[in-house]
Amino acid sequence: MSDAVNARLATRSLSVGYGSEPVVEGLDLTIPEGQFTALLGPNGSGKSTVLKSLARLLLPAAGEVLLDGANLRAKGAKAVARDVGLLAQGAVAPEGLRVIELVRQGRYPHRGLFDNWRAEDEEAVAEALRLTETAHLAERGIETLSGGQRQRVWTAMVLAQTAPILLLDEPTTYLDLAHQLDLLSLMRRLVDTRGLTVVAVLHDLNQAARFCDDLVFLKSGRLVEKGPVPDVFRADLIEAVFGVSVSILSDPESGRPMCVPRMTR
Amino acid sequence: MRIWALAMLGAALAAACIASLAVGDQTVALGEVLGALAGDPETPQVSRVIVLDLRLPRVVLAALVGAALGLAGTLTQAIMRNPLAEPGALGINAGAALAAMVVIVRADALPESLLPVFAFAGALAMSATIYVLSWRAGTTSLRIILIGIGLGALAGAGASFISVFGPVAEVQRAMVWLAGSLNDARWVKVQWLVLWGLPALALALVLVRDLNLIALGDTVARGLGQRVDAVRGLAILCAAMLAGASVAAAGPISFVGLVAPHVARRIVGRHHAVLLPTSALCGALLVVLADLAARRVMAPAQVPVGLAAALIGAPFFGYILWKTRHE
Repeated sequence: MSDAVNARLATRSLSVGYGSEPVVEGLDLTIPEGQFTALLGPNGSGKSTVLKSLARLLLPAAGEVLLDGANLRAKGAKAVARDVGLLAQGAVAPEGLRVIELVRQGRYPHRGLFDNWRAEDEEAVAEALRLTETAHLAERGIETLSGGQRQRVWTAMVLAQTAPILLLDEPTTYLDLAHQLDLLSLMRRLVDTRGLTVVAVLHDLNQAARFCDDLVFLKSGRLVEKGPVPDVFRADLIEAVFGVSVSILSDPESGRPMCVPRMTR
Repeated sequence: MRIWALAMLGAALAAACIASLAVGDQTVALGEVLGALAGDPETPQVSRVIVLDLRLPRVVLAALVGAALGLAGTLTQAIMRNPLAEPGALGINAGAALAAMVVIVRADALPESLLPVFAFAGALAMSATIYVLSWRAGTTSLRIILIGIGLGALAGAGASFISVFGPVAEVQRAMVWLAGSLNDARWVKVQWLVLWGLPALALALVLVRDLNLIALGDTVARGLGQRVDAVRGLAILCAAMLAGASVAAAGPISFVGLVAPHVARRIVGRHHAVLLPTSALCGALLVVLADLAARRVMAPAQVPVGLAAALIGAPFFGYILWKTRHE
């Protein structure tokens, strides 16, 4: 894998945190282009912090985040948002907002202060609604939707942003199994058919192994291991990161590796 | 649908203004009110003086004060993402009131013509202090609200201190001013209000898209490339200018900045391009009606317009909430 050459987004000795305590320290990470990458690690390992740094929501205490080789801090927020989209965790829409109004917000980084709504904006919104199968919900108020529908609508907003790099912060949390699979399949499809680069914070190791190309294991704000699924989905690594002893099996559906916790008592 | 709602509100405001011009100690016939407004030379001189010179400045000032408060409330609620936020709750009015209090009570040292300037400066200084104190590698709406409430209480305590230890006659005048009053409406006040309000209005209209976006929360807004702290700062500046200008013109009128945006949202939804003008119309309508009531309910005595606004606005607010409780 020559992903160091083929990467638009990378971190170099990145340290970042809230207040004086760094949550992430000395992180060197390249995000492989056109791949689906999962950020894995126990709670508090700094996954979301890394994701927010990649999206320029958090500025580094030391080191830097690079987009196309240039420091993210030096780029304008809107310019970054045209290249990098973020599906935030636990976002709440104001009461009474309609789906279409929310999805249209995805066009914000593409519009100047006095630009009118253009055909390409309309197209991007229609496409986002189509991909997430939410067109029929367009006129509904967001508070009238189910949890799964809501997450699809937020996803539509981020897709309307048409950024080639998508960052997803725990996108499957609070979703039922069907909606989790829907969302991950959609991302897989976007990577395969449109060459998008997707980075997701995930908790389900088996879903990560099944849908993603690359895994990044974090623990206590430091990189433990990264690489393609077959190379790094190992029992020793999972035990080192999560403190859980597992057996690795082959998923009979997909042939990808999967893990089951060992009986410890 | 939205256009109709706006047109209806505009018509209601026009009707309320004309009614307010016609009704008073001396009632002027409707035809003569319209004649005076249109500059018809047939209109009797007396009616012209009453309508154009005595009542019109007051009605215009009432409408503009209401519009400014409606806009300020909408801006504050949008950036705070809190339906209870309004310039009054943030302590901006308290800052203006404290500054005005100082001018009124120290009348020997400071000319009263400085009162609007001081009140306006007080509002701006208050909002700047709130913003600066809530800055900690960026701002959050909760921190701004809490610091606003704290500073507002402090300013209120300062005003109370002055009113307890100040000379009784001056304190009495200050109390009247603090209740919110349009008794002293003059064209020069209208001019000041327009002068301070128009740049703020222009800025608010430029911010329309950003107000829509910031409502989705800091994380989402930043993810879409918004400079959240800059937008919040500009919107607070805007709200402080509008609220400060209206306090300077008519004293603190509570409740309008809270209720007008709510009513407007129920009518036209959350899109600020429509919501801002609708809130301005709602605020204007509320204050014009409140002033009409304030002048007539206990005539010839005049109820403070701030009191009347609360008395009219509160039940109407309740009615709106009750009517739309299932939506």
